[in-house]
Amino acid sequence: MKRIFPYLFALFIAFVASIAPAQEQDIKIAVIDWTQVETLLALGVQPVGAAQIADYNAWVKAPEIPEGTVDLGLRTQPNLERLSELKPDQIFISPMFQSLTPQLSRIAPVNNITLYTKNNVSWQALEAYTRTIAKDTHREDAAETLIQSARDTFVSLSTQRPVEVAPLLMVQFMDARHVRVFGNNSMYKVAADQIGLKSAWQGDTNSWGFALVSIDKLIDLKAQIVVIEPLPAGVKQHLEQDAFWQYLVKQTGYPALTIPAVWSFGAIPSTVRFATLLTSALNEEAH
Amino acid sequence: MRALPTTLILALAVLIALLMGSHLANVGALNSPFINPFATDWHSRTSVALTLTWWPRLFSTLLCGAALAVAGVLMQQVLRNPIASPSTLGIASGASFSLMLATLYAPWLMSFSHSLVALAGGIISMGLVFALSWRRALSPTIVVIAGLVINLYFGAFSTVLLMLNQEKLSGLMIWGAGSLTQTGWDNVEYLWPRILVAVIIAFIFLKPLSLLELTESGAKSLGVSLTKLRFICLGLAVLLTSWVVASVGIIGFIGLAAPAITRLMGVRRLVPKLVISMILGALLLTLTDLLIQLLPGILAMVIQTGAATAALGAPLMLWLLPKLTLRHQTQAHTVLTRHHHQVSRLNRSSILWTCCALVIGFCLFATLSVQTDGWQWLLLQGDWSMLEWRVPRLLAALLAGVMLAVAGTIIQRLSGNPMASPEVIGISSGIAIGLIVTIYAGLASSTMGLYLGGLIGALLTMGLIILLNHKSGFQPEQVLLTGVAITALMNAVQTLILAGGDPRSYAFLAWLSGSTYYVTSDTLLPLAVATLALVSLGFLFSKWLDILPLGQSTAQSLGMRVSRARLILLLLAACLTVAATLVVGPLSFIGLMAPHLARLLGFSRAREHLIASALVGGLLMLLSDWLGRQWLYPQEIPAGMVASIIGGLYLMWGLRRL
Repeated sequence: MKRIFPYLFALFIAFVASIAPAQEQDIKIAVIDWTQVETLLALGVQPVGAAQIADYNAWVKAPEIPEGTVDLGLRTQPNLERLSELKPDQIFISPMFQSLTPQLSRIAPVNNITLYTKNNVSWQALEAYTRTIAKDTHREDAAETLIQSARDTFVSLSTQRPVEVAPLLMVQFMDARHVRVFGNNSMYKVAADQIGLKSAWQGDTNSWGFALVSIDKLIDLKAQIVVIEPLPAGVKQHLEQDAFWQYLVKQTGYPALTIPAVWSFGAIPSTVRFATLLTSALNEEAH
Repeated sequence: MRALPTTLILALAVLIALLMGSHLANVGALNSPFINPFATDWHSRTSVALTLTWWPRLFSTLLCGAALAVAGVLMQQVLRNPIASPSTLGIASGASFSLMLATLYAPWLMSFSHSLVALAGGIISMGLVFALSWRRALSPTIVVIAGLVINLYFGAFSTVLLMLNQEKLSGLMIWGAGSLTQTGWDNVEYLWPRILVAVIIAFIFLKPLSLLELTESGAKSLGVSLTKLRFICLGLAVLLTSWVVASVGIIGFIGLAAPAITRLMGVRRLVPKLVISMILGALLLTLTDLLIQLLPGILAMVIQTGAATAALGAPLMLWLLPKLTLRHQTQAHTVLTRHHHQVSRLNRSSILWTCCALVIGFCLFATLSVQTDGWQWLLLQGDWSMLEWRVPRLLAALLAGVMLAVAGTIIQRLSGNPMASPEVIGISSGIAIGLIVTIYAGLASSTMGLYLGGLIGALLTMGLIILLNHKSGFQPEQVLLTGVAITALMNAVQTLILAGGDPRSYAFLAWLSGSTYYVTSDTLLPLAVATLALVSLGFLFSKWLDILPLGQSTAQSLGMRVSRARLILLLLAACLTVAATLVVGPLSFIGLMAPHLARLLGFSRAREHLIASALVGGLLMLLSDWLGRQWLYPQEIPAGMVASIIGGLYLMWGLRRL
């Protein structure tokens, strides 16, 4: 049973990828923001240039940036000379990189597309975001296919997951004593919502949907702990010996789940990936 | 005399007891068996929270505060410098750099022992400082300068690593902000025996150390081996700091503030000074930490205690400053006014040659560069449109380098302190705070907004510097201390923000690290005009700059109105810094390095010093900007960082000859 999920996800990716060659590459786009990169790739658009490609492939992982896309350097300061050599038709940025606009707009029109702002992130927002990007790259059909296949995946995942699941406390370790805990406005919570699960974190979160807390603040939460990889070096060994963490996990009543790395600030592709991995981890625990 | 310290310590202790009591009462532990800090009752949530997090945290704050204060007293005594503190020797930056390297390139080391890596980094940077100053018998001034250089060096490298690897290193930022969260007793068990031994050794060496209050020759004639004494005491201070830094992270200001407050209360003799500082340090850190724990989570982030002590300590320091009577720093003068045997004279032809070098360098850098297809020379390749991107950046780097160098020369001569520079007196930090506020208020959408924010920050800082120093007649040491406090405040704000993990903070880091990225041809003209006007003003005042380093009394006897001259020169330096910083960011350190380099080349008269350091500054920034864009193409390293890395190497080499 649990073997199914990786296949399901592979099927999703293969399905999405099959749309790609269907349309001609008609518009040259350079992208700075990784959330936009993953969305573009899922829509079958290969950007001419993207920022920090090696880091993207290490942190966002899927869909991977294919050969042929040129590395533009840092996201905070993309290489202007290389960008101007590429002669893109449009440059996609997000509000985080707004201060680059004066320089970038000398090269090509700058398209500033927002996803992560305060109280904005929801499944509707993810759909709208995907449609906006699709409209600007003339991939409206691909967007509808992507959204529909994501919805289908969610439906099938929610029937396959265990019936009784406690609210999820989704955390990512920053060091041995501090975690980012994800709640409102986070992509992880959207993914959990879509398969009918709840988030246990009711506290404040920032525009990216997380709060940075020390682990002693987690003591009262009755929840299923979900640890999202990667764990910083040395943290795993520390947690195995840390009596407080052991106690924390024990008092929740469930063993802590570990989930392979998924980009925390992603769009639809990451959401689907997270929901898939989450379901398979929950099923594995139930067996 | 003794009454004041006792009262203060009692008052702090009572406050801490009240806070502790209210916490224990709140969780209902006062009249229950859970009160014992060392026995965990696993069936009770309250008991677990108290014995595994709250009590260990309390004990570690007491230990860390005491250790840092002792380290501070030792350093200030040995280096005879009231602004020396554990961060002066580059321990924190060395530790932080080694942690970054280990995280990126040798994660197994981090799994092996996090604190051992940090300890090794701290000790290696101390070793470097000692190696650089060994030939001058660890003379206080040389040690302080060497520490500063090492600090800048590791700081620059760390910033570059951070910019290139923001995801991987974000966890270390929390450590950098000094989190005292504990989940068990291991830190306390690690710290207490070590700190105890170090403090006992410190007490054994107190007697010879107090002889250092006398002049150097006086101490020598009493048969004290100065080098050995300095080595042991500085070594102790470094170890104390490294242990604290390795186990809980970087905690600012306690090492500076506790001894300063003690001195302020009129405690002169070394033994009571050490004891009172130690108790004060422990109580101050504990009090801050207890107060921090009362704060609710603001903006979904934790306020880390290390950064908070720095943020709270800075205003305290600023308030104390006017009350602090400082001994004149005769030490610093010896280096600065020491004339070289062969004083180099600038003649027309050497200036001409240097200018030629500048022009040739400029043309070469503008045409030769790595592009997508590898190294390209525009003369052969003919894609001249690239100049549109390169020329403004190179020109801006050059102009900014000249301005910062002139500002640095003015400030160093004015203060007679080789540690001084626009970065050090706090103007750059003021600009950085302005930028932070602008970015987080959401006004950063336009470059104009950023400029304006920076300018307002600079003006406010200037106002503060003038307000705090006009009574003392702009005493150089006071001005420097003001700068140290403002810089500490900026650092605190910066580490707090980086530790929060907000992805926006990296845009701010990119701005902060000094890059010509945002320069366009429109911003060049005002910059050129400002350079021309301000630099010529600097030359007009060169006579003052010749007289001021000779000391206040000499200057007055020559008929100079010292306070007025200092104010005017300070204003000029501030304007130069603002103009340059708004283009290349606040952290270039050219203002510190260029005057040093010019002096190492042998120019010590004001006019020649100004010209030489302006040329050195300009050339260095030109080279740095170009190199920064080639080194890791397509990633760009900010010019200011490259300048610190190149210039720092030369400074280290030059220090051996000083």
